Amino acid sequence: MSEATAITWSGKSEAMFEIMLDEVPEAMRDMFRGKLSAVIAQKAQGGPASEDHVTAVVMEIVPEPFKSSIIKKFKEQGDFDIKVIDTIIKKHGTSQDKLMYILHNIQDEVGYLPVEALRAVSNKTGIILSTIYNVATFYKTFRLTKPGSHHVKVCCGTACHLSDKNGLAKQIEDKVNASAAVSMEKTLCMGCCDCSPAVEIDGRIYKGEEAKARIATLA
Amino acid sequence: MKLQTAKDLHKAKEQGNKTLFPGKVRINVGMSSCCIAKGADLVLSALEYGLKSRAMDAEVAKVGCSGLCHMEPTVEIQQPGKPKIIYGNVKGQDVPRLLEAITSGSVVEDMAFARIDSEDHALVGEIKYQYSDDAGAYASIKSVNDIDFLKAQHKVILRNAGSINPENIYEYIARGGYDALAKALLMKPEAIIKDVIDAELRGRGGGGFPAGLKWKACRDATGTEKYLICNVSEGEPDIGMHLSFLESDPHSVLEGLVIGGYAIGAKTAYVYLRNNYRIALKRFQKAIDDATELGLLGDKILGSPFSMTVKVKEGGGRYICGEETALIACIEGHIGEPAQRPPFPVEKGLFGMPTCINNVETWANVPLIIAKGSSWYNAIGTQKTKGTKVLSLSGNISRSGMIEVDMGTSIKDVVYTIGGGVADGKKLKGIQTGGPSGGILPSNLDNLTVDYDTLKKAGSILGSGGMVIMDDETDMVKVARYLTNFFVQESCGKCVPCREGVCRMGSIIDEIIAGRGKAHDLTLLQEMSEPIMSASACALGKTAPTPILSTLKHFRDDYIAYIK
Repeated sequence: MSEATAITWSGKSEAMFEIMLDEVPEAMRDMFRGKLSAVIAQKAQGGPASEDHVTAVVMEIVPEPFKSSIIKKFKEQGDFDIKVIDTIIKKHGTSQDKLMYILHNIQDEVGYLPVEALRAVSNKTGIILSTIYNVATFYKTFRLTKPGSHHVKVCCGTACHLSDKNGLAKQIEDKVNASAAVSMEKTLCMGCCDCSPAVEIDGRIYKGEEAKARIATLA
Repeated sequence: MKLQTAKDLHKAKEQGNKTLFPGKVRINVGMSSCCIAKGADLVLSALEYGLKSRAMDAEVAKVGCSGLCHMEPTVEIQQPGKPKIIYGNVKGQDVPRLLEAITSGSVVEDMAFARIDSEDHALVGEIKYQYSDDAGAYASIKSVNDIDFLKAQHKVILRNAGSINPENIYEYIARGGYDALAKALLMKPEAIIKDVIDAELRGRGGGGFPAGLKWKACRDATGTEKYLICNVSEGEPDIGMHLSFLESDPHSVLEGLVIGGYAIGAKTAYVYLRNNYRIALKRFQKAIDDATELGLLGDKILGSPFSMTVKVKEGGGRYICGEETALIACIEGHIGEPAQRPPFPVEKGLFGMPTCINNVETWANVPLIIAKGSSWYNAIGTQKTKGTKVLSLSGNISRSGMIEVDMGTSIKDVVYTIGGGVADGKKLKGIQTGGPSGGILPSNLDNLTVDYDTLKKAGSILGSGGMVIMDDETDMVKVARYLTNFFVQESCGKCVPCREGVCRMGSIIDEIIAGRGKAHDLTLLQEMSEPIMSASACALGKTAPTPILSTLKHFRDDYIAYIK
């Protein structure tokens, strides 16, 4: 295993470097890690390696079809810092029973589970991507798409459903659908059965009436 | 500081009493998630601001839910030598009046709900908490002993809920907490299990399986490691309120787990908590950290050779994960699909090792059994079911809340005396017990009592204690559709009868509601339910047709009205 050249990263450059390495067969990845980081360091001329530096290296030295594939993935890359995932995995460990802890943690930090985050988790833990996808889609808590800048959860428990005689839940749903900035999910009982329907807006639970008024101001 | 002996524990009690009885005013503000939803956090900040600006000295405690969900936010004011006063439906603008009353040593009569002169406590039985020195003080305010909602209850598991700060371990210790653990560590593990068997504690998760026998089977099973699981996966769509006792008194569950770990020989326990309960998660994690710091958890507990760790596992919002084997799969990091039983988890459970899974309420019962003895526990409840039961009353009821009654209490009392009957003066149409897997029973509540066997005989289950009251405006066909849709969404998809069958039953009901139903649809629904119930592997599939079957049995007229 060759040593990776000491290099400082800036912005999303490290995440892009990892995406680049993903294309390399696993057995050769460590060797390429050293070689490629040396080329990038050279490009950066001793300074921190920027996103442009990484892109330039890909354009110059990576052969097709890998080049197009990597550039495409760069474009798909979300606006989160892949370093977050390193820290999270370091904190929890890499065995399968830690997977849900990792996914919960990523969702807390990033707000949802971006595809490239799942890919990074797969690379770093050795758990097959399809298994991770299976878990991430089976459990309803996990979101694979980016939520709106305000996130609303509406309780669909029996008590809230029965006591909601004026159809507040439906009105709230319509209001949310009309607004691009607000996203919504339905949840099981939140334990506030006297607030029917209980609605959580950005982490705080409100009574249905109050929630409806608040959502009107968000949109 | 680690506590090593019973003497150290006694010292910790003094520290707890310093905040419980601070020698000055103590104000308890209910701050569990149901209280916050109704604005308790705003009341708290108004109180803190008011106290500061008036330069008043008071102990403000953020307590859990006292069960009075219908009159939250609640504030309790305890002045030295005076009765404790409960105020309900407090708003931020009421705070100045409360503070003035404190300064003048009086009470805001139009806002006060009840006064407490003295209080019994299940664990500190012989020491009654005496608040009032003067028997006639605040006589114009109703005593708690005269309030229907409270006097019919028997608070054993909920003994601390709403009275102590759940984030302060010393207050729990001061009220007799961890005494049972100290006692248990001096006993032989077999003797503890014998106590639990003699107490006839039945699992509170739904089935009512004797907990002691489960413990014994797990202790006797062979494995290099043993695990405990505390099931808090209250995915039932009406039972979340019930979970707030974890927010209000997390140490009682923790203490039960450590005693169980010592008796069974397990070194690791998992507390499986549904997601979305962020406050419960945070408080439970704090309870674990505090207990570890005091040496009540972790290495060499209370100076004994026994060590144990407790981990919190956050679920993913699936009802199915309340099923034992699905829960185990979830903790192992897989999707929550139930596995074939046998082998039962007590033989081969988490990571292939013997695992004892009990509901959160079952674990909370354990410290009481050990502290007070099996015969004390045995005396509460009915012949077949001992102890008390925490219930959550919700739906169209006048006084909703989290309550606790003796096993064997009549459901009529629960609904009318405690719950105050149906909301808005309407009539009772039905009552759902035990969540969606339970049935909906008709309005005649005679002969129904809170215990596993009578409810089973009536065609429902006690489950984990959810009771949803439905008034006479409720359309039972729509309720059946709502509950069936719930099962359609929550089926894990492993068994075809459950995945496809329940979905088809749902579409038949959709047709009926759309006015396109035919008379033979009702027979069809009945016939379909049989293979679904017999050919599904787990309890979810086996009970998925229950809402339809029980509404068909008791509320057939609602269906007929659609079919014409």
